[in-house]
Amino acid sequence: MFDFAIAGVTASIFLLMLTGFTVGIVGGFIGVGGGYMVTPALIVFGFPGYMASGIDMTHIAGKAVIATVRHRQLGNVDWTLGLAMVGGTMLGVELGVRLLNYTKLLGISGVVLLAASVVIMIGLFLYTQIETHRSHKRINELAREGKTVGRELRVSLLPKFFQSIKLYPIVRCRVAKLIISMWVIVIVGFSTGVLAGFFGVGGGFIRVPALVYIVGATTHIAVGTDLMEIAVSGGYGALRQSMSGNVDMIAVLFMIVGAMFGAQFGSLATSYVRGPAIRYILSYSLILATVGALLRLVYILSGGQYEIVNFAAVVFTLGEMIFLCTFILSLVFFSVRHRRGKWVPSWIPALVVAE
Amino acid sequence: MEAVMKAIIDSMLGYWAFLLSLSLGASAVIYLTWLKNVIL
Repeated sequence: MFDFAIAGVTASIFLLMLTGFTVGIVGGFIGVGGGYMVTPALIVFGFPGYMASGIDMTHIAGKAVIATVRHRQLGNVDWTLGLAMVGGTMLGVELGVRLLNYTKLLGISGVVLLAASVVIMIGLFLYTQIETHRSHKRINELAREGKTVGRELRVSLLPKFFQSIKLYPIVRCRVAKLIISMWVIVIVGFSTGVLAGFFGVGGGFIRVPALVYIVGATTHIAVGTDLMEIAVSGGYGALRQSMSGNVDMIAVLFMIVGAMFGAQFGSLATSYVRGPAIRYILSYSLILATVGALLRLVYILSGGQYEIVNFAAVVFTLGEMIFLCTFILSLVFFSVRHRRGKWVPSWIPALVVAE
Repeated sequence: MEAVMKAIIDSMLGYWAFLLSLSLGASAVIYLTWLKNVIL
């Protein structure tokens, strides 16, 4: 146990490191900061809400840098794509925060926030899940026909539409192997930034699907590039949060010690799987986060009356992190087994890279 | 037992449900036996 003087809380160092480690694995794998898992977890550990948010944002920035370095080594970062998005994202975040403050003035921020987040997360979950399931089936069909399947397969037609928009300047993203109007990238960054600023999150869970389904990047490149983006916007967010006195750097350091290993492992794990596997994990994290958020809201709206709901919310918050982490580890495990010709579940070969 | 386990995890939905139950169960056990005492 350690006394965090700035946060005014005594908490377990091991718990912070473990949280950093598990969320690092998930974040490095699906390209999110993990704020929607870490902030509720820190609140469960006893940190006040504003501190949880500040510590989370700062640790995300550090973790994103580590994950970006690893993804760059794996060839998953497109600097042109990422830097073109950053400007749009920062503007969007600023507008999103102002929108949030406006709804706060009207006294409807809580309801609007929850309704909007549920609609968007469920919508994203359904689209990602359906598209990924179709891609998974297609890969199985191609494998049965004896055709070679690469690391990525998408069945969505949206990217072709957005890539056909000829608004100058047109940029060539060499690593992502895309030629697309810069305005599409900036507008995607701006729109996802508005949502991120409004919900007070890093935005990875919105940006990764946007990069895949609108810009047309492969899932691996969307993950790596998004983490680079989070490192920039998270760094700015961390600066603003610490200027407001919301950051306990000692707590952040303990989380980053765990995230140092977790983020590296999560990033490396992407090289064992195909794009649909990453999209599956992303869609699961969306729906589980929505359920966890709804449970927490029910508890708050009931005035803290039903302890069983609070218990369910806590168990769900922690269980979600364990589930995602274990699923990712099992994908790597099955990938290694598949390469060695051992038995794996029938749905695995289409999701993992054979060599 | 092995055959039953293989049958469960051979289906993606079965594996998902199995892993989620295990994770939520582990989370409940961790919270009740350790975490609740650690959080002040």
